[in-house]
Amino acid sequence: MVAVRGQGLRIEQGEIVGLIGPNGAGKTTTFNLISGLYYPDAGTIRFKGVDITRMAPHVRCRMGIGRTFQIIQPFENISVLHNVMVGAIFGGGQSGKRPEDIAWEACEMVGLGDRRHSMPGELTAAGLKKMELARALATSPELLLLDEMMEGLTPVESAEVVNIIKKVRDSGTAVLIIEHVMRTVRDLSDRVVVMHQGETLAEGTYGEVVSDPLVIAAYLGEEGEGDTVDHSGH
Amino acid sequence: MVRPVRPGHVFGVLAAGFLALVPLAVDPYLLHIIILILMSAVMALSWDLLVRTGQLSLAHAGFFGLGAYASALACNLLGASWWVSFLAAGLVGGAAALGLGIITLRLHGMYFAIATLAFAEVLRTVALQAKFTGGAVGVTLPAIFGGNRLAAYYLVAAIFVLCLVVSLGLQKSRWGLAFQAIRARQAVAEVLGIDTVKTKLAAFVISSVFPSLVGAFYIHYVTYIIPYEAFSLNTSVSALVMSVFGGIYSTAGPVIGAVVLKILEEYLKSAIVYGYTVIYGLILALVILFMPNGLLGVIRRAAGSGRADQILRWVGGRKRAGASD
Repeated sequence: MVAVRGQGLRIEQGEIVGLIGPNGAGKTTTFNLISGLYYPDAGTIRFKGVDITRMAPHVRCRMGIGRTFQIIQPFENISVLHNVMVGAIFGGGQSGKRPEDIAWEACEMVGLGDRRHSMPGELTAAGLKKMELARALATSPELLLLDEMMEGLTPVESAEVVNIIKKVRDSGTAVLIIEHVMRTVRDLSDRVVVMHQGETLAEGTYGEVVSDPLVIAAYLGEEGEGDTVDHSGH
Repeated sequence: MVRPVRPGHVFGVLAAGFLALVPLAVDPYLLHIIILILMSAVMALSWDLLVRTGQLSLAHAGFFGLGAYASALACNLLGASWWVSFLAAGLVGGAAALGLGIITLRLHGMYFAIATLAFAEVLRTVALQAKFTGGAVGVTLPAIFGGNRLAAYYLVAAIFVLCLVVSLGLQKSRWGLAFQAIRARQAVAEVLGIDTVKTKLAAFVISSVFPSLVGAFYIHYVTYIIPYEAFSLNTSVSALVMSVFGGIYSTAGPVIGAVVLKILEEYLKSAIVYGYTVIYGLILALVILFMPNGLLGVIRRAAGSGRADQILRWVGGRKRAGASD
């Protein structure tokens, strides 16, 4: 069983949880806490029953926590396959398999198999997003954190990525996604957690949370921008 | 089955043959210059090993001086033979790098550079003030191999080849990939499972053993050293300059930079006795202004996608060619 506890947030194996909330709600901060880039001042983070609150990011990665970043972060000077191989080599991977093979499979899974010898600069925005997903997948995560995967993608590309993420979930991985495109949240999430000002405001199915008066009030607070787009960073 | 002959192998054999035979064909003065070039090449190349992880160090002079003093004192105070004193220099340098690295490698950019600069300054003060170091007078040693310059050449050539092999090996290994990832995006490297602290520490230790060996060689070859020379900021800066001049993050770049700059320096010294440093500085400034990727960058661009480029890629390794499948 895969579980993360903190702010009452909890994720089970084989489930996609959508993390939504207005600007500055603390969604990306939550990711940084779970992946170990930030340490919390209080509280505990548990993964597979182990307290990982004070563990370094690379240890958490090898334990099975993978993530992508909101702003794409490719290693520009090496090929797509080598980018993905970084995850395969250092992220624990699957024992007994060559990192090249793990990386190749990850590229295939996201549909970048024929672009694996390209340099990152030759990929489209969607291609780069897929490469970052493959890089995280190559670490063989049991919990995958995806920060705004759909940002900048066309509807067709988004649909493609939605299918990939569902495949990842079906292989038993727990997936936590931050998304601002509500349609994507609806299509993907088995469960939705709404954050507001650093706290969990509501939790439930997509239908339940969008009709929750508390959630509506929180989003109305920033009315005018609409509920689907958020261009600001976190 | 016939193994394919790769251009890199041909290049390697030619270079090894050149290193082995050239000292037999030159006069003692030229041999001395070649020895200086090889020392510089090791200083530059080993400095580059750390910068590949994104950390710019000014501690190279500190390790150079530390190696020189460690080996000289091992000989003079403990009666060690030359090779034991070299071993001592390497060990002391590596251990010092481990300690310094644990304290300073969490710093980035300018802050790390200043911390490492302070390291060399502190060591110089210690060498000047301590009883056992000989103070401002420095230390002296009898010439290594009874002053046999040819033997000294082969010793420094061996250190150079060792540094070359370590550099090429690192580039082709997982460590090379980890260095690149850390340099490019440290946070991403961390969440992909790279132990950035340990990796940088290892790079720092490896990078620091070589200047310590060069320092040991220097005192044995020149036979004396004073603190101002042993821990001169100039030593750190010239390692940096030669690497940048030739092209950093590569094996070929720092070596090319050391060879070209050392020859240029010696030529200018004899051609313009007074003020040669002005011309030298001018040439440096122009190259760094107009060739941001160093000489190697220019060569790569000129070579385009031809065969020469493949050789350079193998030697330099900045762009990893294709994949291994």
